[in-house]
Amino acid sequence: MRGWIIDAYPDYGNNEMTVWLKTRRGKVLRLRDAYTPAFYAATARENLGSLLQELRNSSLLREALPENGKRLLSGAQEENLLRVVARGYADIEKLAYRVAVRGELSRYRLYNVDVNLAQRYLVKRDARPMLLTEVKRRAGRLEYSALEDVEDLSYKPPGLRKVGLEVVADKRGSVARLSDPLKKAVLMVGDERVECEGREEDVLMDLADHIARLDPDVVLTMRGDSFLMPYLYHRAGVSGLSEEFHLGREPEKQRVREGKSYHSYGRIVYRPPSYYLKGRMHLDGTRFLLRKGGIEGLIDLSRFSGIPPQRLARMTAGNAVTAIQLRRALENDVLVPWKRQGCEYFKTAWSLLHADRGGYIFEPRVGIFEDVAELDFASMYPGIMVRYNISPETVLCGCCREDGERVPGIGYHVCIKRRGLVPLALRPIIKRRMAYKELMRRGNGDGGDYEARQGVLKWLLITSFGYQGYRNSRFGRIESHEAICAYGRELLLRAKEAAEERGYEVLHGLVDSLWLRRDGDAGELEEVCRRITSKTGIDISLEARYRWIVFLPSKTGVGALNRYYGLKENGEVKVRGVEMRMSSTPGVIARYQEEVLRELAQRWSIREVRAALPGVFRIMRRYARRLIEGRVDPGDLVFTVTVSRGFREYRVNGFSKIALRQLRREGIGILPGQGVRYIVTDHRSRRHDEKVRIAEAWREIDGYDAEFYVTRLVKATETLLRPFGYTEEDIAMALQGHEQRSIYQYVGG
Amino acid sequence: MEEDAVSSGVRFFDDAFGGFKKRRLHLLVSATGIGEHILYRSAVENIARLGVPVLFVDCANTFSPYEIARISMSRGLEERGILSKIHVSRPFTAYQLSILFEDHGGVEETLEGKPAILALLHPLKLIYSEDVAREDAEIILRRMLRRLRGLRRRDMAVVIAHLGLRRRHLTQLMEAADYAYVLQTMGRNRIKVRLEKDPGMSFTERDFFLAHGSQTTLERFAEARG
Repeated sequence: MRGWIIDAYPDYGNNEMTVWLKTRRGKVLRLRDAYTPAFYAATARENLGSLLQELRNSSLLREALPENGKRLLSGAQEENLLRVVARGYADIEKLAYRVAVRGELSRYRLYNVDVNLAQRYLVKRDARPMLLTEVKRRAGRLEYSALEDVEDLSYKPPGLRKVGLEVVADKRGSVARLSDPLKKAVLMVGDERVECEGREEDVLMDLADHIARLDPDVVLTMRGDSFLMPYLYHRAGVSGLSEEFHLGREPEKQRVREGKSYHSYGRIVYRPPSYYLKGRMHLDGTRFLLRKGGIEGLIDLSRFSGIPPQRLARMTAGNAVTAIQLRRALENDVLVPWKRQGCEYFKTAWSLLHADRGGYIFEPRVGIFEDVAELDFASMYPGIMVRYNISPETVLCGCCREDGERVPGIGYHVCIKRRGLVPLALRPIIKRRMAYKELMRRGNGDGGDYEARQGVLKWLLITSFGYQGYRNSRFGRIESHEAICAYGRELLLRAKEAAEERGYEVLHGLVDSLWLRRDGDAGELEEVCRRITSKTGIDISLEARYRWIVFLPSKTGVGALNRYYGLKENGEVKVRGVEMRMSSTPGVIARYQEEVLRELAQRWSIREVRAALPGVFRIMRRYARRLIEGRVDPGDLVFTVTVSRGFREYRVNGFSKIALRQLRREGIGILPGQGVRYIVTDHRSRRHDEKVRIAEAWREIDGYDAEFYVTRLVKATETLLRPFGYTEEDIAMALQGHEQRSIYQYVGG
Repeated sequence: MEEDAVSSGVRFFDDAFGGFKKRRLHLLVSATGIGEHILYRSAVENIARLGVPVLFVDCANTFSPYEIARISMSRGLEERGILSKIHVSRPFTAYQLSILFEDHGGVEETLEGKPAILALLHPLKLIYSEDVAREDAEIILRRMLRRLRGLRRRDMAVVIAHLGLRRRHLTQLMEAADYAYVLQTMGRNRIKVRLEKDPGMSFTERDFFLAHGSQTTLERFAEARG
């Protein structure tokens, strides 16, 4: 058989693996394979007897045998190791946990316990999903031989049959709830729409029949994990169709589950539960990796990482990087510890003071500047990890205390004898992304596909650094994180010096980017890039040349980090950190700023930009008029805010809390990290409930608070024009038709 | 202050309670960061006076070398000398914390430097975090307390700062501690310290009130007399 593995998962009933293969002729085959996973347990020699006893006392054990030669990430051989096989797949974690608890979570060291079974199986069989593969059954087990090189970038992906799925609930309130009956289900196959309507039971069974008939490989939904799938399966339960209704290629039991809220980079993030289908993929278009790379990017990453796409689509970028590192570890037969990451080494508070810092920042000068170039290091932090061998087991390793490479500024030593797991895993990602970018530059193949593929890889690289400092990271360690930042600071300093030596003035620097202004007879930028690359060992390139760029101030008036807009030489406007870039901003405000920047982008010099500023006020007045006359579509007035806590934890009756209360009345509970959408209806009202209205109920809204939105318009104008001397008061005056000149215009002409 | 004790770094506290007794486990419970602040002052005082190191296990990522530097400078001490004698480790998960207290390496190895104090900052925050199964949390806490009690044979004081006055989960810390103090900020000028547990005295509860005319900062509080 030749084809592509489209999914693999454990069959807990039969304790074997299920593999779905899409053949080259378009058939889909369900394969079964006997696979016996083991986990490992180790302890001090004197405790080995009690460990064996603990295991043998459990009915969950099938066998436990001594094993030699397994290594830890540090390279050291694990002593007194047992290979443990549980009675069944479902017993692995139970047995391991029982043993761990008996050893007070410390006496016994456990490995390879919670590694995803499908991933372990695929590594063991040296197989990858979405890679053209020959499958043979030999001696009762499946054998896989890849017919493509995973490094190949111009491969032909499998022809997957896709359908889109939408549902319409017979809503009793403003927002659809699980308790609302199903009114309609719509399947989209290419341009064709198949609608299932009628009694709820009929809709459900029609839908299941159509899916069975169309037999898609992919069912695409929007919010399928957070609402659509749990809704459908819940309604099937209510209609007494739990047994009959399923959308996979084989029946699956689905139950309504809650998602999870967690902290990430200081924000609360909500992760919905996962609703997998068996034999075909349910892909929810709102999931991060799918949003960033589409199906093309997902398939490419699946080949590369070895994770089946349905599971991969639900991973965060950080999880995906970890999975790649995990695959590398398993391929190298490294033991993967369970629940035990190394703790930070004791260090002096003086060392901590120097080590626990982030990247360098050269504060920007507020104002508008001409002829500016932006240089960016290519994947700086991942590049540092690869170039300088930064990995949890290489930083402060046990073998190179004297002669290891020293991390600048903090003095940690780094192993020079062995390549670390993290650089080994990251290097191919960087290489692959660069190759895609090169193909795009050359205009080879389908540029859109390449863009999608490199886009996903970019996110993996971005998160790979943060995961070094993430507390639950499997292959992270705070010292690695500190070492990367230390190298980053050093490299940016070297880059600054190199640029200044060649006659450039550094206007702004932020971690891995520099904004330079030519100073007199400065050298060519290409030469500057070459010098920096040779001084740092990390590629730096010209990201953009700006005809002009405006660095914006923070609230305190000093230059804000990563808050600017500028006109590139190719006519494109680059914007960072202003309202239009924020997901919470209503459409009307975002569109207004876009129009203002389009207007300014017609001007090629500082002088022309300044001359164009009165035109900005004309645009503002037009938008204000539309707002005041009630001509703005309610959809354009919606604020989308991520809630940071549960309803009861809000003390002040702010807009978010009011919206949460309205949703609760509709029977909708929102967890921290999820969004609420509302329109401001009367922000001055004494009745909290009248201040805002949830967006889902916008049809019930009589009107909106034009004054409030105009104030936001003024604020958005101030954001863009502050460097030209305009204050909020000046702009408010201008709105009323008084053409207030800014201080600059009085003074600077 | 008694000979068999190390200074808390706060004069009134030393006068009233005799500092932190060596070979004893102390617990400082407070709703604000005052317990942690006392440990900073104690570290500065003992390093300056005895020249011995102090260990911090920071379980809530709140340890601030900047604040210690500020305290050192306010006392006319060179901050580098003080900070170089403080050894800190930051477990970010309960499991990392448990590894730190294993028989070999971690805390045990660092104790060879004969520190004056082993200070733990807010361990329950880590142990009872939402990522940790309840059963795991109980095991980790039990084991850690057993190890800490075992460290009483060492010639140093062990002090735990705990943030939050809610009794949930606190019972085991209270039971394990030899001395437990509850510190409460009462308005702007008063700090109330209640000695909740004291094995060597006939009473189990005593109140200390502090009032200082112009005291508005922790810094001033530390200088005030009870």
